Amino acid sequence: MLFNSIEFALFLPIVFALYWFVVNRNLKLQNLFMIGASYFFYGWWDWRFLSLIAFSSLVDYLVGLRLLKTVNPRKRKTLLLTSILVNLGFLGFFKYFNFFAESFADAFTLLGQPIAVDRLNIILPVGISFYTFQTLSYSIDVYKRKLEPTKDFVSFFAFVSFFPQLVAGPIERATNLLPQFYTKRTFNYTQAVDGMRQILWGLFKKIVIADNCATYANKIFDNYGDYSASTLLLGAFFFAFQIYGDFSGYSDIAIGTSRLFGFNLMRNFAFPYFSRDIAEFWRRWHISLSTWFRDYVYIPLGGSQGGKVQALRNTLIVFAISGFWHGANWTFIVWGLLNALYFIPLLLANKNRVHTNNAAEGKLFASIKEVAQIGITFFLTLIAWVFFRSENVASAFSYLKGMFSKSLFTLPQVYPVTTLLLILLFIVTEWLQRDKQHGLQLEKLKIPGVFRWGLYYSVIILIAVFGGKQQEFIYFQF
Amino acid sequence: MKSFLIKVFYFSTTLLAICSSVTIFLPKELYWGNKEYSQKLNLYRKGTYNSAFFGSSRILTGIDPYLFDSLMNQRYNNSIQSFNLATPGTWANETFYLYQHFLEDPTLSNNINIVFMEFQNIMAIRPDKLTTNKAIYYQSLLNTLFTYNYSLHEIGLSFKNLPSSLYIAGSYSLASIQKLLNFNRLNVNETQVDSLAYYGINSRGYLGLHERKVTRKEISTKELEVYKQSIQTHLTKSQKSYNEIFYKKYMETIRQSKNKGIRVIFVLPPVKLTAGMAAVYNALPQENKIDVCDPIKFPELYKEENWIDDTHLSVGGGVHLVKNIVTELSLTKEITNDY
Repeated sequence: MLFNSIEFALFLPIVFALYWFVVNRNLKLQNLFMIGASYFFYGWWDWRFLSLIAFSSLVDYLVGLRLLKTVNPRKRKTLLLTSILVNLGFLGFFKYFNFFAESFADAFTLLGQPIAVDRLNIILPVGISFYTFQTLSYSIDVYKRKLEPTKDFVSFFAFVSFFPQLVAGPIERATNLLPQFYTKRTFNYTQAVDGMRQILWGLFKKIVIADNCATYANKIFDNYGDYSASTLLLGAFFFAFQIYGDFSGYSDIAIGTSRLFGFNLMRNFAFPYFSRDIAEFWRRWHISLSTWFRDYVYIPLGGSQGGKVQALRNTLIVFAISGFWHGANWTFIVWGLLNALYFIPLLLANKNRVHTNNAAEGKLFASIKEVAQIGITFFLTLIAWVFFRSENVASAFSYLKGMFSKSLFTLPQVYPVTTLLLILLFIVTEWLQRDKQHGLQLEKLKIPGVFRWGLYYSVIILIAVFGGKQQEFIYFQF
Repeated sequence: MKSFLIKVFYFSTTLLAICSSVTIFLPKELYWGNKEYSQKLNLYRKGTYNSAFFGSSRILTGIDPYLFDSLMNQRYNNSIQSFNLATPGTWANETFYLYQHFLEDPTLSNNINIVFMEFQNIMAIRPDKLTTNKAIYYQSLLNTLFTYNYSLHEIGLSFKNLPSSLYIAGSYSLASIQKLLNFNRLNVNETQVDSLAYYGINSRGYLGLHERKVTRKEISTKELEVYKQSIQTHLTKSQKSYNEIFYKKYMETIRQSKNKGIRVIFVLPPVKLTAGMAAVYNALPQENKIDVCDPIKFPELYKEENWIDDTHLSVGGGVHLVKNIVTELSLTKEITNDY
């Protein structure tokens, strides 16, 4: 079920009403209902894959229980490996089987021994990368004794399948979300109102920004050979806003929806395009995934404890895996490695934590230096996005070659003024709200009610009038 | 919770009230239909016709008015001049809307004696189409209320209809809200379609499909069998209960047409017929309907070669459909007397 669909527009108020008026008597009922609603939400797309979620939940639940009773370190490790193998096994089969088979065949072809491999006709279960990582975090945290394993079967299943973030995150840690299923939720007016605002802002990002940008980004990327350099640059710019609007919009709707049900999810985006260097960008982009890799890959590998060389190796590994997590294509791996290349000089110079505050903090305008830093960082991400969006690595290089040709300083062939003005409005709003959790967080600003409502109405009308053609969320494919 | 719900209610009603009020003060839209259809009507206005076809792409791509006129004129020695006013991607609500305006505009309907309208179902608007001009231009409060009423009756007939009815009511509500939030204007962002190819390739509004439309899959023998089975099962059964709201809508259309001196005939083309649709169809007066999809009477319609995809007949299939209409008309005495 898509958040920007009629199904969800019907589903959400029905589930909301039942949750607060029918099953609010006790905790178990609330959690059982949440499992039912979440399985219905997911099953709407393809009910057959519900068994995968259920199986994954069951394995991790049982592993958790066994870990509670097991003291022997070897047995504990075996249990953890079981959880990792089951979860990554599913992920590997559904997402990466064909990629590995083809890469294997390509490698043999390069060695002069061409072999034929049959591709399997596999459907990628929506959100598998997200819920797999979420359940893995539970097993790892229990193994490391950071988290008490749960004996509450219902709470655990509700935690794994929680519908707002089931298919595209944020990838929640068991330490944050699971305990919220242990206590009965009570309705919180302020939280619900802000949740509604965040949903509205997420819809604006998705429907107005991402869907409109998608039209032009698709057109330009699909026919990049026909366009001038300046148009290709604009195409990359549109894709940068498409993916940001799409994914951060989804996260906003997910977080806002959770707040309506009395849950707090972690923040996933913190205005990343105002970052002053790549390290800051990665602290602000897809935060739940970046911190997951930091906590469960980078640090266990030794982090930066073993000196620069080890830090460099670990950074490369994390960025490469992060790219690979996005999809079974070399383009994602190159995208990850390119970001690592951007990041490593900062790491070596010990400058990867220079910008930990907001740009132009406490001021309305940024200094020239900050504007330049933001511009350069954005441009670097733009180049990386070309790899992310292209069909294959060769196309990405051709695209970039075209982008840096002589026609860079000519007028673009595609120039959608309305979409560009909407992006400008979006950037200005985000800039003004950069110290908040989302673009429409207003409770701390003393704005009279009538203006606040006027603002919400304007956003709704902008969505209705300027909404682009409905597109599926990009991150559903990951 | 109470104050939250009250605020949500006030917020929504105020928003809709503001949009409605603003809409009243804005200049009226120049045309009641959408842009592409207005072009089709301009083409229609250039000639003089006494017969018209309404419906979805099944009719648009299935009925060639030139062929129909020549067969009718051969058979009854009458001067039939017909035009195909069907539109693609249309369910009953849109067809009713277009026909209503057609009746109200004397420049369009004054010369018309007979109208053939596809007997269609009410279906939900596809989510990806919800924000398009095509989905919102015909929305109104009356249409939304009609859809709610229809959905309620469907649920009343069987609780099994609950999900589909909710879906239908929800999609039309959202399309209406979308229209209201647009101040009754159409979506400025939408790119216009190639209207000539979309709304009719020949000068009588017919769009013959010579090759498969890439957006749809080919029909299979199995699917044709499903079509046949659904028609045989449901049309022959006499159902006691049917959706009265849907039935009344058809009867109202018959009455309004009669007031204008027009006989409207509902044509049932080969479709996957539901029990509900069949029950309403069966309840309609005999003189206002013709069944051209009977698999026993018209077996040629169920040959794969007469289909271009899983929904539309090929040009050859269309020839059979037109012939069947002419044949069936001859059996309806009252109608042939009109000619």
